[in-house]
Amino acid sequence: MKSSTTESRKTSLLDVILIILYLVSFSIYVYFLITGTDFYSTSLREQPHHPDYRSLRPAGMIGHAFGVIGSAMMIFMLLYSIRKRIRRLQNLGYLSSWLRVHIYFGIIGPLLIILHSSFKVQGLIAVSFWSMIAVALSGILGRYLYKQIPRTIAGQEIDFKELEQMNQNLAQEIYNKFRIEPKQLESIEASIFPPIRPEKGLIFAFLSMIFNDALKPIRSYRLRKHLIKKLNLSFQEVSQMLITIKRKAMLQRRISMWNAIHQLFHYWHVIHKPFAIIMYIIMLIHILVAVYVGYFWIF
Amino acid sequence: MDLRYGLFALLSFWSTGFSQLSPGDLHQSHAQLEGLKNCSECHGIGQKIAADNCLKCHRVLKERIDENIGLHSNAAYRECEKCHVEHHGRDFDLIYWENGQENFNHQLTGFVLEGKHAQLKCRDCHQAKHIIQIETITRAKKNPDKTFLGLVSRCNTCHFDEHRGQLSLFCQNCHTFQKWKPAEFFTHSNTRYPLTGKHTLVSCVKCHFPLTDGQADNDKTYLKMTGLTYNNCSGCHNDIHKNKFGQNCAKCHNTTGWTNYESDSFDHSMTRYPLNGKHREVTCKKCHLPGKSLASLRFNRCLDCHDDYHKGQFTHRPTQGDCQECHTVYGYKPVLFTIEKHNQISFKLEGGHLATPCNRCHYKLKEGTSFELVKFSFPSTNCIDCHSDPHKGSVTKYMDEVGCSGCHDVQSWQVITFDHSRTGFPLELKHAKAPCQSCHKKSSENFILFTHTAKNCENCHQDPHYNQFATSSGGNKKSQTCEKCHTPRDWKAERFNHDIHALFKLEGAHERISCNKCHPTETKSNITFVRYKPIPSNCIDCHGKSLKQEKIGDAKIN
Repeated sequence: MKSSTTESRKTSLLDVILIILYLVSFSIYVYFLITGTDFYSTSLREQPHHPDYRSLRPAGMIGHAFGVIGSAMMIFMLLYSIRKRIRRLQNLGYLSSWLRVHIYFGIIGPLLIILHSSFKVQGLIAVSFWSMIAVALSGILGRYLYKQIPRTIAGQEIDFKELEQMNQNLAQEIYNKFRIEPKQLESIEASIFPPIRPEKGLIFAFLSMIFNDALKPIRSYRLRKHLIKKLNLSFQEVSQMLITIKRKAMLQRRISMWNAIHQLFHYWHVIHKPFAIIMYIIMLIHILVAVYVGYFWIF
Repeated sequence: MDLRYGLFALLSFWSTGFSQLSPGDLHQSHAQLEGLKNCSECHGIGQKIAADNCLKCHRVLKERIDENIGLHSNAAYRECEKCHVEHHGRDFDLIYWENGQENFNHQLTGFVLEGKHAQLKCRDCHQAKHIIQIETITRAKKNPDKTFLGLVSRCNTCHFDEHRGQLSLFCQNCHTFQKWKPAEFFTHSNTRYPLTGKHTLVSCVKCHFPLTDGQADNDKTYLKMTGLTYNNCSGCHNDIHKNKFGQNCAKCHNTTGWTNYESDSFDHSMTRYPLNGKHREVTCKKCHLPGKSLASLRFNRCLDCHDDYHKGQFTHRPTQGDCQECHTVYGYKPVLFTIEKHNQISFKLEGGHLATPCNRCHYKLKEGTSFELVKFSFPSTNCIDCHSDPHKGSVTKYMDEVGCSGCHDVQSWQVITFDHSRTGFPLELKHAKAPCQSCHKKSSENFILFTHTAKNCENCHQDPHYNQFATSSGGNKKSQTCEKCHTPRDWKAERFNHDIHALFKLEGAHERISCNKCHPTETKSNITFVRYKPIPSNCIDCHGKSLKQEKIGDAKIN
């Protein structure tokens, strides 16, 4: 419990840093996106005739900067993979923290590369580009799947049995606090996350999960109104109750989707990693060729 | 597992091919450079786009850069890719105009677009027909209609040489870029024939006359600029003098005006009218009026220049009043019209007229005025036109057609040839010898009175008989009857017959005695006369007492 508190403080600091980074990064990005809208919205054939072409083109001072910084971020993303795979580095921060940093680079980096390309992608580098897009989008998907697997703060998966124990503990807690019977609780949970049958197929299960998550706010809203009316409780009391019940419902769904999630996560790796490798290889070639022909940016 | 992914990626890359490393298709003019092996044809290692690599093919451009001419010789334009963006497709416009093609700063090429040039489109000039050495362009595999090379900054590469090679090809020496006409920089003073005076006002085509040829479709005419003869005025001007005075017009004339000639140097003897006498003293402008052409000047007659001093009084003459008949260029006087010439006209100078000064007849009509018109024109040659009538019209009825010459002639006034018989009083005998004035007395106004001269004797003669023979006729007036006794032959009483006309016949002794025996001389009132009447006819009267005789005489006279 002590160590958990310490870890919680470190994570919060990283969160602050990341929030600041995200704010700064998006602000800068939006600035260039807005100021360069006219150029970026110009057709590819007309872009060379645009006044901003000299600076915003891929080899331009700003466009090249996007490429260099974006590429650097894409390379920095590999640090997460290294950290994950090399045992000697296991003590170097929590893997989840590395993942957050990885995700930050995985979001900002491709966005910068998109500006670097000035929305002109053709030839071999287009393969890298679209691979990057695939990796980034699959990364978002992976993050979603990742979140469906309960983990410790350190990022390690929680054992299934432990999960069930946690589920029971939560059910007991709810009963103790709110005197809700298990059957009644099960009914409430189903109104938030309707049960999914993994046996109907992984794709169906995955889409159902996303669908349910999308409807979760609406369902929660309706449930809150229902409970306020039925149990004759205040809004705050029902809200506190729903926080715990939603945790319980989420945990319950994760337990029920345990196998399906793990299967999906396995297939996700099959998509995410190859595209990442293709992206890196072609990106490397692209960089090498660019450097070879003299595009050093400021260096 | 990861190795498999890498192998897959590698194979994928291999299958897509290295050719896909190109960021895009090259322009069709560079299509032969497609392919990974050819990257370095343009891209130098670590040099981005190596200009030298480009110039390996773009030799025409390299020559211009080496010669330090044209846009690409400018250091700011050495990086090809700044303007020539590649890998944008086969038909992509390879030339990037930083501020648009229309706003290209042509000064960078070394040829500033000024005036009309600034209003032109690029392709108005940059087209195949304006390229000097088009084979150089085509040999370099450039499209002459798309390249911007090949032009030089000589006007005639684009413009037709309006002067057909007659003048320098540096058109801007005279013309501006604003407009062809007028040639604002041109000044004729820089030519071998500076324009002065009236020449500055003459339109160009008067000297540089238009020629025609078929070199230009839209304008077949051009002005002759060279080969003009300007050493001689006759190159442009007609020799109005028909080469009579030579070709050196400047000897007399200058460009300030044809009539502003220099008179001092002109030898008028070369003309058809040499100047002599007084003509040498007059200024040219007296005859050659300023602004009047010499060509139209007439000189056959003096009156062509001179006013007719005599106001046409001689125009009736065969010479039509030519001054030379009387005057010479050496002076108005002396007049050449001699007496001999005067005698050839209808009024000959004879007699007293010869001694008469001319101005007695040819007097000034308007004395005392600046205009002195001398009278030469007479209505007739009658004497009365010059002479006053001393007879005050008293003899007019005798003058008939001949006028004064009926009595007088020009030899002498005093010699008179008048047939006095026309007056009804023929001059006979003594009368014919008597001077006119003995009968025709001068009047109180000092002219001889020819009228009212009575034919009676007593009108001229005194009565010596003391009215002894006076008779009354009509009233109380007495008249003499001299002609009963006397004739004009002499004073003797030729017609008196004492026996007939007297009451007393002379007979006997009376025939022998002297007259005064009977007719004594008497004096009365200081008049001495012979007594003829009354004479007593009785004997006693003569032969009686003398006292009685005295009584008789007194009674008769009283």
